[in-house]
Amino acid sequence: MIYAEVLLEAAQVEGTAFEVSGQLRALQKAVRSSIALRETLADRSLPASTRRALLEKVFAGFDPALLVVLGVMIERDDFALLNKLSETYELCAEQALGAVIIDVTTAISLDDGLRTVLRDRFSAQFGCDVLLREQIDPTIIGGIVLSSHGKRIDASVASQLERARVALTTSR
Amino acid sequence: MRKHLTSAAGMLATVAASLCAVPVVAFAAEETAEESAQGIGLLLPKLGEWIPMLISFIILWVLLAKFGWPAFMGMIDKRAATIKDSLEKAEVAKLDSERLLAEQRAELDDARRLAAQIVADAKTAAEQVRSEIATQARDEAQAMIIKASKAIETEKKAAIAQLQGSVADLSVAVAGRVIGADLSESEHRAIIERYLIEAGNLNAN
Amino acid sequence: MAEISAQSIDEVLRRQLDALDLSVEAREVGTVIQIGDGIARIDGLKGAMSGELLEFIGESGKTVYGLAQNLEEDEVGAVLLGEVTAIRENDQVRTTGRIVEVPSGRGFLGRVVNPLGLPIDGKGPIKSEGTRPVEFRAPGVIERQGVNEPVQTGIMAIDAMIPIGRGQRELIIGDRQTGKTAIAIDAIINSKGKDLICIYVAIGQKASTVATVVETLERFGAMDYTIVVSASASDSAPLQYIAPMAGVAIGEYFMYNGADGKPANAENPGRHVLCVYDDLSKQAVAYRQMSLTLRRPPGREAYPGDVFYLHSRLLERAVKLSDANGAGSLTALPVIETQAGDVSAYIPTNVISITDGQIFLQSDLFFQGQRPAVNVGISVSRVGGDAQIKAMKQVAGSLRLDLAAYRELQAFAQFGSDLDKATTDQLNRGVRMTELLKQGRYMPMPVEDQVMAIFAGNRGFLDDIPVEAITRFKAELLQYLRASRPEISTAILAERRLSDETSEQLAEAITAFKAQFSVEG
Repeated sequence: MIYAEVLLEAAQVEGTAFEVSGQLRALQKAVRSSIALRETLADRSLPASTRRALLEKVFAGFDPALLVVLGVMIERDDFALLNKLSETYELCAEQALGAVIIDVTTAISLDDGLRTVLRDRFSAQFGCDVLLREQIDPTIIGGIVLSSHGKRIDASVASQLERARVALTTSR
Repeated sequence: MRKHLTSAAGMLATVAASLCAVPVVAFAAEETAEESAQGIGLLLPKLGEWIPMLISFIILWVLLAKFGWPAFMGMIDKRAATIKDSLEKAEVAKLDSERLLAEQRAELDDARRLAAQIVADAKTAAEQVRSEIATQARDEAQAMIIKASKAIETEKKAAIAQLQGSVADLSVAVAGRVIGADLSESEHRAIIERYLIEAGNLNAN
Repeated sequence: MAEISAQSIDEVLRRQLDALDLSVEAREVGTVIQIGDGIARIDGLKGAMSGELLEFIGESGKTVYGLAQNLEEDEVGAVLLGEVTAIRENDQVRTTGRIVEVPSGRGFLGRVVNPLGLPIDGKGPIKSEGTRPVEFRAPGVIERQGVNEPVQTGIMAIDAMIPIGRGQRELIIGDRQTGKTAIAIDAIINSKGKDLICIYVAIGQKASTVATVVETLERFGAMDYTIVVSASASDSAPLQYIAPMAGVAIGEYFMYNGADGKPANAENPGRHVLCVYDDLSKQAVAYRQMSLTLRRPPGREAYPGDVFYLHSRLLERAVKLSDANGAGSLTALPVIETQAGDVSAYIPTNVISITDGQIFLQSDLFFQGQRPAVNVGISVSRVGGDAQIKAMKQVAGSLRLDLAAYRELQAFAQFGSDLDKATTDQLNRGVRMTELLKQGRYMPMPVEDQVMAIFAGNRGFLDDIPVEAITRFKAELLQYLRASRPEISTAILAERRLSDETSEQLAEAITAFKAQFSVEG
């Protein structure tokens, strides 16, 4: 996919290939959760330049290369390919970086000790280097949620409590 | 018939003879008892009259014997036959009516029996229906009781389940609050490390 | 009696907590891209299978189940089987590795459940004995045997002329308001004490209608052996779509398992099940809605191309199992509603061609007062005759002929004024036979009564009874026979045929009854 390749090339020049992958994910999520945003960005009755300006305004702090690529996509009416872009980009970036990206969600910020533990453990599993995309979410109460390539390990206190609740309420 | 006729003729002859004899005897008696009884003498036929009378009588008798009697006897015979016939007919009619009466009596009996039978049938049917209804009612009542107790039971179970659910919900919610507020940074890290040890392979298929 | 005490609750909770599995394994997770109309498009889930059960986890931790339908290159189209509003974009979706299953067991008898097997009658949770997959491949030829036992519907017109056998698929088809449901309900009510478990699947009906049905069944004590699966009009299309499959799956549990809950075999007989799908046209409509929102290409009448497969897959699961498999059976009574008597529409033709016969109900007959409004001329049963008891076959043969001749003459008789005696007799007989077949709602008749009533008609005992007195004559005759001559019906039931001796007794009894029957009443 051409957009992903261009984006990766530009990001690699800047040395932000990994950060862009995270931003792309965040952007994807934001677009999905807001129907208004999604509809407006794909609305052909508005001029492309307006939509592009909107995109740049909404995602102001994001990598300029990413915004440019997305702007082109809007102009070419290809914005619906965002999911595909995100996926392809991540695969290409992993290949280029020679590492696997893992999303890590915790209730508190990770320290270096934990990072080392995580890296060691998962580079052994994947047989290559591991990049951690960290995220803090207090709603999981405690524990950790790891996900990569559509697989997910949910070891959060919140989900454990939920499982306990389900087990207690469903009588056997 | 002929025999009848002859015997009748004989009888008539005797009657005539006695009739002839009576005046003679009476005459003699009169003569001896009272010579001058002229009144009675008037009534008695004179011998001169008596002979032609006898002759005419004989002629009449002969004529009657010749022509009158047979017609008369025929009539009598006919009448006798008619009476006999009627009698016979009456006899038959009587028998007939007796038979009919018997028949009707039998039919009446039959009808009576049938009616009794129907009544009895109806009675048994009614009895049966009654008992059926009674059993049905009893069964229904029984079923109702069972159903009611079952309903109570399920209600109770539902209540227990609900109570259990709310206890679980509440305790988990409390646990979440307490854990979230109570965990220190180091405890957080300890939990993460413990989970990481338990966690499975992220690269597995 | 369960006691409500803190201790017992505590105990239960502790026991369940002990069984809690807190292992943390990696699971395949996708994300909802878009959701609407009960359809979710999911990113990820590369390993999802078609028809697999998916677990959607809503924001508040609420779990909603879904069904993977469209497997595309970079996304999965799924339908939601529950509270659609609890799920939003970016929510997680997990595969379960299972296809949709419904729980089943004796605990379900007398209950009303939704297509996922969850109770909706407010009587508390149901203890299940096992689960059955909603999609299940129908048994093959070797596992089956011919249909040989009857399902007595208790409706004379059907049991005599359109007999249904256990394991048969008999379509009930007709316009709205012609008594389709009534026939199915009568069949369920009449199954009391006949070793038959009934499943009534209500699809796309008003919830109040379903409540009425349940109430009726309860009133006649039929809920004791009946399970009602309800996907009402307010439920989502996917729920309506899987409802018949869920119903048949619940039924299959009883057929494939013996009374002890173990798989049925030659020693452990499976049970007999009657499944009513009321009605499949609504299911087809729900499936059409689902398919169109999943953007599948529409076909004839905008139904998707595989709607025939959908129905044949479902109805093929009606089966009479071989003795080696426990000899259980599952009889299907699908209901189809036609529009203005049009049986050549897409769904009716499909289902007519799948089933083993159909019971046609006509609104003009219904309004003429012929109820049940079965058109016996065009209704057929292709296999049920083998399952009829011999006594019924004996009397029903001439009934069919009488009625056929009657229908033929009826048209002529409208023109001719002076008819010869044979024709008038035939017409007379036909009118009385038609009258004899009228039957009220929820008044199923046992088979021996049906035999005796039809016998009376066949032998001409009704010919001199005024038409308007026939119904009363029938009722009183049967009551008389039951009360005064119970040995006749016992003989019919025991011998399963009408021997010369029994027919003589019966004829004599009917004559006796006629003697005391007063026409004026």
